[in-house]
Amino acid sequence: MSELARAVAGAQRGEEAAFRALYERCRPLVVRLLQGFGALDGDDREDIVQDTFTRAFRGLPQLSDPARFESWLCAIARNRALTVLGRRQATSRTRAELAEEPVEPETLAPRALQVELDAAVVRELIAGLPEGPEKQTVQLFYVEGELSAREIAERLGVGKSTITMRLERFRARVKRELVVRVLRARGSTP
Amino acid sequence: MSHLDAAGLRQLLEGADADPALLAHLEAGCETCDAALAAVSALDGEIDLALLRLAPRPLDAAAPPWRRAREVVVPLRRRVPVAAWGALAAAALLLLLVPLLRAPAGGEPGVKGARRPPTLRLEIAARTPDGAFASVPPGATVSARDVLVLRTDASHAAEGWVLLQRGASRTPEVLEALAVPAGPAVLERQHGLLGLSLDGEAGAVTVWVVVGATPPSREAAVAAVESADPSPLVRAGFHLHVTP
Repeated sequence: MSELARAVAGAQRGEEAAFRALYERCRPLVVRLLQGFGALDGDDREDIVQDTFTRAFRGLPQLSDPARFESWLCAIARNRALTVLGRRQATSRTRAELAEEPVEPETLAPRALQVELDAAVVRELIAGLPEGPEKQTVQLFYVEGELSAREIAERLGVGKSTITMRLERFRARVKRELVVRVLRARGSTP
Repeated sequence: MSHLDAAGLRQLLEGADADPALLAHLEAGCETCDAALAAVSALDGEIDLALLRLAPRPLDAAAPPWRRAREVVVPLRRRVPVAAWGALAAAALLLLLVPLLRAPAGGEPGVKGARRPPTLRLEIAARTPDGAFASVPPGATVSARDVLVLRTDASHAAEGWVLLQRGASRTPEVLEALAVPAGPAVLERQHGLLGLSLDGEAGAVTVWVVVGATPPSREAAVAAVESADPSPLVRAGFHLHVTP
């Protein structure tokens, strides 16, 4: 059992040391995710971090696969950020329906699409981007991983929301690529 | 070529095979289909995790210390709002200890190194959302918005666990470790009174305190509650009915 799974199991038993281990291990991840939303300031991020962990720890008894804790936590954080921002995507009925739904573990990546997203695949996607502002933004935020969306906006001389939109556009590409790969693999399975 | 829409996406997510033409269309890239994918939250967690792991794990220099964070993020039934502790302490001490002081406990105080399990009595008071404090008789109905404060009267000091059992037959949940002092006392934890939130509870519940001559394990405490057989551990239960 991995260290993460052990900590999740311990937290599911109510052990405070395990809650602390999960919080200290995963908090930087959640903060980094939220730094991709240029419209969130430091106070917003801190509120969402606390809200995210509160919801995750409360919902832990329902998490059947401890190894999925981090991806589940990321989904909760994104859900909370979007709720705070009140954002609705363009095609929109589905997002509007789902925006306020709790992110239960079982509703994440349904079994039909569960797959490990390889770092090599993601790097390949980044490398395959055409040279330009989107690639530069993605490299600064995800590959170098030091600047927030706001700091990148300042460096590149564009608006904060522009940076967030570039990052979201790239995420959409990654999601599409992931879905295509899984569907192709499913189609080729006898 | 029709684009991916919410209904089609749901079918794919549920395991339907993809039309080869649709796959080729997706592979070629389409903003309309990307927007449909973006509108559904499935895979978001996995994608964010994979992207965030590309860079070295960032430091989090601005993180508040755990002792502060725990007050917010650890599940509610183990917390009482810090602002309430002062009022809880004053009211609980007044309400719970005075009657007991009139009827001192039996036992053998002052016997060092005693290894016999203590005798133990458990009583409960409830703090209602309007700040009122009231003793709760066994079997009483309380609100899920109430916070419970536990008072014990033990023949000598012991260590053990607080557990919560929902219904009569379900496995009790271990809430936290505790130290029971000798004599009448309101139970405390490191930062103040031990307050049990009933948030989310409904129906018949039993609060258990289980202690032993030596500190029992969590598993032994659960077994002591679940089993009707005589146990070397001492258990005191308090039955309540919680209304949402």
